[in-house]
Amino acid sequence: MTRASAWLILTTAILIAVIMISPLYPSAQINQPLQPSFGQAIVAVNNAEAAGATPNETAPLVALLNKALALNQEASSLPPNQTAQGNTILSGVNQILTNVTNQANDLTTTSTQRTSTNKIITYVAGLILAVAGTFAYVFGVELYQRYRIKRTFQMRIKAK
Amino acid sequence: MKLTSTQNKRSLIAVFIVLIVIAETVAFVTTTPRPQEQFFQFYVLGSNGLAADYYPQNNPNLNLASPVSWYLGVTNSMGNVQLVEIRLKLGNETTIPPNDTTDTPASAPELVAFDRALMDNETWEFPFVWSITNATSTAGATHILTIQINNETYNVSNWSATNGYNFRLILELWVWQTNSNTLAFGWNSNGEHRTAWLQLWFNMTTPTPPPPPA
Repeated sequence: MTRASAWLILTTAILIAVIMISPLYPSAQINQPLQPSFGQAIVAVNNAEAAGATPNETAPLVALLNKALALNQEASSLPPNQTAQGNTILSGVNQILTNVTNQANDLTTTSTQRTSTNKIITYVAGLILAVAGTFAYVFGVELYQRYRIKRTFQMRIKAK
Repeated sequence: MKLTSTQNKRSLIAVFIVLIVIAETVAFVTTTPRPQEQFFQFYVLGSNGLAADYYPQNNPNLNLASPVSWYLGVTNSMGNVQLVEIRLKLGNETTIPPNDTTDTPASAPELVAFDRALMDNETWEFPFVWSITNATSTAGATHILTIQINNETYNVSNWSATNGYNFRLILELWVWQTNSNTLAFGWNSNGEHRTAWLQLWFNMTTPTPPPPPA
């Protein structure tokens, strides 16, 4: 019983220490309804990059993200009596972010396949080069031996 | 070279092993992305695009409606796409500036924010033209009431400074945190939290319009 309570106290103390050591970074609460959509879109784009998507492939997605940000800014700057227009703009922003997420997910799939293929090709090329190098070594050694034999039989004995 | 000899077979195998180790090491190095230092560059430049001439005639004592022209810039070197926000705050002498140790932003209220999604190695630089458009001076203090930024006017909730000295514009770099789905002051890099912020001081001792050109 005593041991259990000691463990409990120790665990609680560690948890409190971790919470106190971890810095609580102040965060903003802007675009609150759209935050999950923005988050999903950015994570999807980052995943595509990690899978090997090139900057040329991610550039259109980043352009769409910036379009969504601009529209979001436009909706935020509308006066309070234009709620309907603001909601229309925000639904457009949500649609753009959904498109970005879907396109980024597709890009992740194709990039993963391409990266895997490239890796296999590179490693197989390494194997082929090693085999070719070995054959070149055999060929080179054989040529050298033939040359040495030829030179040996070409020797002449000269009387001094 | 006859392969019938045991010594020749051994040397052949040794050569093949050495070559395959070299070739596959090269393949591994070329296909594995190298870790890079992750950081943002955040800067403000004067009207000529240099780290100079921040105020008209190099005089930080401003008049009403006297335009100040700067360039704000952020470079993303984090290795992937990042969503950043530049937050502008108006402070005075008593404002607590951002703290790099505790990673807390400035205590001053936010005036305006600029958002942008940045690709890796992309620099976002844009003109930032501002002026104090309305201010009053009462009881030895100058109160800024409105400020115009890039042709948009923003109301300031009665921000003042003693005798008009030591106002400051504080610029903070906020970055989207993918783990919490929010913008936060600074960014995480190699297990550390880092922040970037700038501040430029100015005075408005006599809130009057600029003198007409001679």
